[in-house]
Amino acid sequence: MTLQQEIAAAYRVDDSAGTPLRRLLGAREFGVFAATIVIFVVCAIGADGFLATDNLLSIAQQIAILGIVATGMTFLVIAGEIDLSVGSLHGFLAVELAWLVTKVGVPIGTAAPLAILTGAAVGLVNGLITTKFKIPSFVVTLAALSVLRGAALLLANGVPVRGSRDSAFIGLVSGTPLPHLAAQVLWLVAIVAIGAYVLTKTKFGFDVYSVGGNRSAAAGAGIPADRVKISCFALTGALTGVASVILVGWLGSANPLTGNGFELGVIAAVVVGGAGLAGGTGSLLGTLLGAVITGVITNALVLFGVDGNWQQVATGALILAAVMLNQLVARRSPHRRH
Amino acid sequence: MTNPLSRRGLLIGGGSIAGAGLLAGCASEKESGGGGSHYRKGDGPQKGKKVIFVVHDKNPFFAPVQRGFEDFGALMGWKTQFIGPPAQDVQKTVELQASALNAKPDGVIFTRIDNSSFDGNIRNALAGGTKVILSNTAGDDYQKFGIGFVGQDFVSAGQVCGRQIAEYAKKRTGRSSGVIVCGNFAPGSSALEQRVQGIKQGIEASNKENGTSYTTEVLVTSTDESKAVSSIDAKYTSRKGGIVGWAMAAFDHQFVATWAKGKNLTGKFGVGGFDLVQPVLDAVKDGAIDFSLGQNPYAQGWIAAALLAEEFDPGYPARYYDTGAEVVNASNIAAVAKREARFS
Repeated sequence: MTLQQEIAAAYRVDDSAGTPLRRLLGAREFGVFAATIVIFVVCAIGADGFLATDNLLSIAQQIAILGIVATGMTFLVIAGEIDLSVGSLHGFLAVELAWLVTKVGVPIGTAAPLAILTGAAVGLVNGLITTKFKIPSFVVTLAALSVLRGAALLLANGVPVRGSRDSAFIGLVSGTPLPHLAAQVLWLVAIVAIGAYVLTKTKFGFDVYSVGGNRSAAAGAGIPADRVKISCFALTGALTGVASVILVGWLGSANPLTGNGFELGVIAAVVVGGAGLAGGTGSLLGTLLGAVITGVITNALVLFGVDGNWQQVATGALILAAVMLNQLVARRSPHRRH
Repeated sequence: MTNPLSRRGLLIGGGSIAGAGLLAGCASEKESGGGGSHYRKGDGPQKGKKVIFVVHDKNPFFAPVQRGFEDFGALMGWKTQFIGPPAQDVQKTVELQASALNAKPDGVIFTRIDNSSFDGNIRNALAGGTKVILSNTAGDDYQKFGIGFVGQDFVSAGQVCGRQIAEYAKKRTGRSSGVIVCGNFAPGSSALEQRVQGIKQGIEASNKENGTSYTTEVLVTSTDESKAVSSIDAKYTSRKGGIVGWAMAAFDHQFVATWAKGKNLTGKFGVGGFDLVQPVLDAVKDGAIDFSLGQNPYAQGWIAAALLAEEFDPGYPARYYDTGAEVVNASNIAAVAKREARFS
């Protein structure tokens, strides 16, 4: 095992040994998995229509965009950084895409990759400013949040911009390739699967854990911490671009206020999924379950007939309860005992 | 245990009595009005029907909309639910609408703030036999769905606002030229953008009719009072006395009133805007706001629900209902304030 892998291993949970039950109980995700099951059971018993196929697929469709951006954010949080600008970037990229297609006349096949590249470029700039100027990422991205929201409003001239009507594009990003199954769900699954592979099986993934877990040790081991962090920022930006492309295909237009407060939902999914904001911990399976929890709570509160104002209270309380349950279970799991 | 006759005991006892006296001396500041629906839920001619109202933003404007909806729902015996994101968010609204439809309601009432994002849900609802009414905002082409709409014509209402502010600018300053600031706390909201467009048109029309030459400048404000006041103050400072009026696209003229009072500038320019939330009515009453345009939000809940009820039984198709642009100023504020008190 190389020194880099040893450092990474110190901050990752090895859930590959022992019996399946022991592995399950030892997995970092067990806490959030338990919370998901509890919430699911409560909703299945109490909310009429919750288990209907249409409803479950609708929940999956609703968490797809959040889950895709949260995938990038998980890399960033594990690396010890955060991006508060993803909501505004989501809005800006959606507007950029719609504007390129309907105001400039760029074909959607070119405009969509351009929007993703713009997202990566914005992430790159955030990462460069954070690492080279040694400014905390929450300050840099807080500034970016404001800049990008203003840019979206300027580009859209304050009004929603119509998106592409290309049926092939709409079918690809938000169609229904299988009955009742929206394409954005498949995009989410593919992105999470690739992300999980990169995070757990590649050198880059080990480096991300190492940099977030102990930066000085990582530097001592020759891991280029700045480059790893900048890559995570760029990845988050690019995945936000993917989410924006899907959104424009799904809704058919781009509103410059898209993504208002979206960053909080993304961060909530990552944190509910067990990632620590101090860096070094977290997993994509946990984040996916975190996104599922937030999506299920939002959906179930409507099915339960809860009034809008109470939904805000209930959502916050349930997310807190899920995090507490996650922590409680994680503390009791075997891997915490060594 | 403390000896009541010791110095500490006397101090504690005396302090407690003085504290209790002070508390008792404070008169209750509980306001009358407010609360839930005036009507008791239960029996009604359409008992058991489930109707869900999804708005795009749960700002204070929607409180009377919700009340109108719930009042009518209670009369009918409906199970009602009123939901929406805490701040304007198209994606979240679309998701809430989808969840609402999964709850298998008999009818839904939606706000439609752009021309495409909500169409999938509207089509799904209609295809599934769920009745749909639009309220507050419908978009340009809602007729394609063959559904009803209850709300204001935003451009015409903006024109009324533009004419009013031009009149008050002249009255307050005596000047025939100067800047009228058009405030918008939610750029991107089609309703507010249309009102701003209408305000500019109204001012232009007034200029032509009255020989004035007022110009307009758009200011992005906020629903957050401190942020709004700060941008209003910065705008005023930057124009160095050139501002003759403030015409806000929603209820942000209450922030102009707050700022003007703080700076002792009340009456130095015309101030107007939209909506009849309590702080706006209070400011009209004390002269800090010259006028505000109501759009009968109660009707946007009540009438929308009534159109839905008619569609349920006997089955009349719904249509457009204009909730108008009621001008509220010093001449009618007492009656309007009394009417609106039940929603405060």
